[in-house]
Amino acid sequence: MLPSFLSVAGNADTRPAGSPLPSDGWTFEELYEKYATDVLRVAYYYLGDRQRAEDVTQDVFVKYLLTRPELIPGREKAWLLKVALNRCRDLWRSSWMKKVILGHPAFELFPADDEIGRSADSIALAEAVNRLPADFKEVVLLHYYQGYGVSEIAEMMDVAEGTVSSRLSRARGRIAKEMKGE
Amino acid sequence: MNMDQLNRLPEVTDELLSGLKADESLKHRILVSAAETPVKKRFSAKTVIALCSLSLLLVLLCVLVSKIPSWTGSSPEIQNIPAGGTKVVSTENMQEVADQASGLPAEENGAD
Repeated sequence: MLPSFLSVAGNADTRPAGSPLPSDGWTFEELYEKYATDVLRVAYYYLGDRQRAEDVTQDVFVKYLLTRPELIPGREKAWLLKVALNRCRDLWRSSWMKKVILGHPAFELFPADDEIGRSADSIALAEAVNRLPADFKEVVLLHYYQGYGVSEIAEMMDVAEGTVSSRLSRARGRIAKEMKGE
Repeated sequence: MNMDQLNRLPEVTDELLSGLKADESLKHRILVSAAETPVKKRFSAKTVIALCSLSLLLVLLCVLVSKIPSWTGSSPEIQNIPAGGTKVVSTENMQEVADQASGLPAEENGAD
């Protein structure tokens, strides 16, 4: 039996009765509906393992539910992705990943049932991104997939803007080489 | 590789991973996990600042009290003047004697 504040019924506010709304005014339901798939896909890109990606997504939203951070309006997704990437990094560095994956994970695609064909270029691009080293993969996913600017990524990752730019540039080079088959 | 391809990453990802979605079962897992996780009592920044301020205030108060001379000086001396007399009698060498009923032997009074 779930406590009342974790009720999944409808779209009602999931906060305890009488508790003040944080400045962002988001409910768990809203955040989950809007951003959980993005978090899951970024984690999957990072780890290449669906089960682990789901675990990361779970950890991110459990952390949100338990800590109720005061999210800056408009930066909700950035917070979720930052927590997700930190968790992915921890997992990636853990002995589990080193022992089980041994290098780059097999990148399995999850096309929709009604999808007929996919271009070879699209698959090559996704696989090239997936094979990037973790630091490069993070900036590529945040910049090209999630659309964050260099300064926003620098803030999210606690690194200098120059570092982000440099990683992006080097990542582009690696992807280009990869796709040329070098 | 032209950069247009990399700029197409959201589109490509949506296409290739369109079957990977955060569904209701994952949401249920999250809610169950949150319900089962013991909530750690966290102190807010305001609480920490208030506690630190209070501690500092107490320390300052203690230091201040220890520096007040009248509180740490010797206790006031009581002057003894015999009835009818005017000379102050010192209590320094005065012998303390327990009251004892007169006319009875010491044993019967319970004295040793």
